[in-house]
Amino acid sequence: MKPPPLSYSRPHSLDEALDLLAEHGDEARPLAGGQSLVPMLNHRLSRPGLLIDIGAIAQLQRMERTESGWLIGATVTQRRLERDGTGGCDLLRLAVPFIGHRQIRARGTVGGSIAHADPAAELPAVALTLDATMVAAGPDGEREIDAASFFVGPYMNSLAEGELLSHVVFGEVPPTARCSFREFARRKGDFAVAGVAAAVATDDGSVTDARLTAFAVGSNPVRLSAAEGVLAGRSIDSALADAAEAAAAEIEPWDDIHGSAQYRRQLIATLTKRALQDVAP
Amino acid sequence: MSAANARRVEPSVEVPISVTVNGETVETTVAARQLLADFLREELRLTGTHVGCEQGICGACTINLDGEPVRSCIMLAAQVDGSSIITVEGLSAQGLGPLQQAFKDNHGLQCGFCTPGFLMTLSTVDPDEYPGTAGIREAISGNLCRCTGYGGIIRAVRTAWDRPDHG
Repeated sequence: MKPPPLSYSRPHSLDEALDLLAEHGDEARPLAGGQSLVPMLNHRLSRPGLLIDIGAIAQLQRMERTESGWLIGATVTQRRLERDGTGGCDLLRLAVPFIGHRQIRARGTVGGSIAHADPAAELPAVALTLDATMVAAGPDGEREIDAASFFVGPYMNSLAEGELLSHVVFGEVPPTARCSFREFARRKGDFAVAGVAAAVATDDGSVTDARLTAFAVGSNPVRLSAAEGVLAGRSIDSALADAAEAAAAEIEPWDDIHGSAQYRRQLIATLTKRALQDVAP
Repeated sequence: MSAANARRVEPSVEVPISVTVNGETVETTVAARQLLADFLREELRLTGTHVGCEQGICGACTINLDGEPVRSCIMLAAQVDGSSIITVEGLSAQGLGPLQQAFKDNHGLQCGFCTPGFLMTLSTVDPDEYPGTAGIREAISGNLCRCTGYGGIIRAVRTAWDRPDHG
């Protein structure tokens, strides 16, 4: 239960980190907060020859509102989001308390969680709900990847070799939108058995913009587009049952020791209903 | 320039660090793979930090790192260069501090293995962020105890944080 022999580097600039990544290729792994990577090292599930600690790169710690949304640097900690928030209906701030425990959030980072792409993780679901843009830094400069094409399987992202996740831009929701984050886990801080993120705007009682995402019920978080369609133009109250039914039907959950696929469908129906009740005007 | 914050782009298996532990500055070199918990226990002989699960679940190894409660078994010693750490040994200069005394008085421990982790979490967080009894439960949710059933721990924290029974 100790990390394997490895070397370590702590560059102070993104360029230095990218140079190291280019030089060492597959042997190197970026280390952000380490809340997933170090346990994996302890278990010897990961055996990199070199850790590139990106924790001292000031450029990756930015957190600011831009024209296209909230720009959050890769190494901004989850605790910082929990403490400072991003204003508005703030789906990020609603989701963060569900991430592990306070001790994990103190070190765990936004970029680390998103790049790790755990199917049960909260921040990838938020990224998908807010149509976030992931910005990868590579040897040839920056590349933008939209959330829908960033997550390509359990623990898999679409970063190319030699690229680092530099920051994420979380899109804004309409000013009238209300947000909810609902998750079911066996114990506080455990990985989710199922969860739903919602951001819904209404005008005069009718839904004008509905975003719903389910997570922990498939390889990656998924937008509940059928349920979103059911909501469009209707009042949340009148569409509640139909939306929950649509959500449960459109996911492709699996059986595991935490619950059967059928159980997860029921959880998603219930969580969708509760999330919609949360955001009803 | 001391080891603290020195530029270290060149990968190495031995990493110089400068870190403040319980108020004292330590300048030394650590193995790149060494966990912070092992550095505290084996190099600094601060064995109050306990190593339970070694995978970030049980919380026995919790320390105060720059004002945040952190699990020292899923951090590398190399990562704390330039930081300030408090371990359970640093909680009280003499005898038991108020939180420790409350644990003793309220049956907040039996075997005591998990206790340093609980103490470090509770002494690091801001009580105002965790109101009432529900808040206390939330605050200790990242620490596991297999002896007490948590009742004694919650009573201890109520006493230390000066909270009535039903809050």
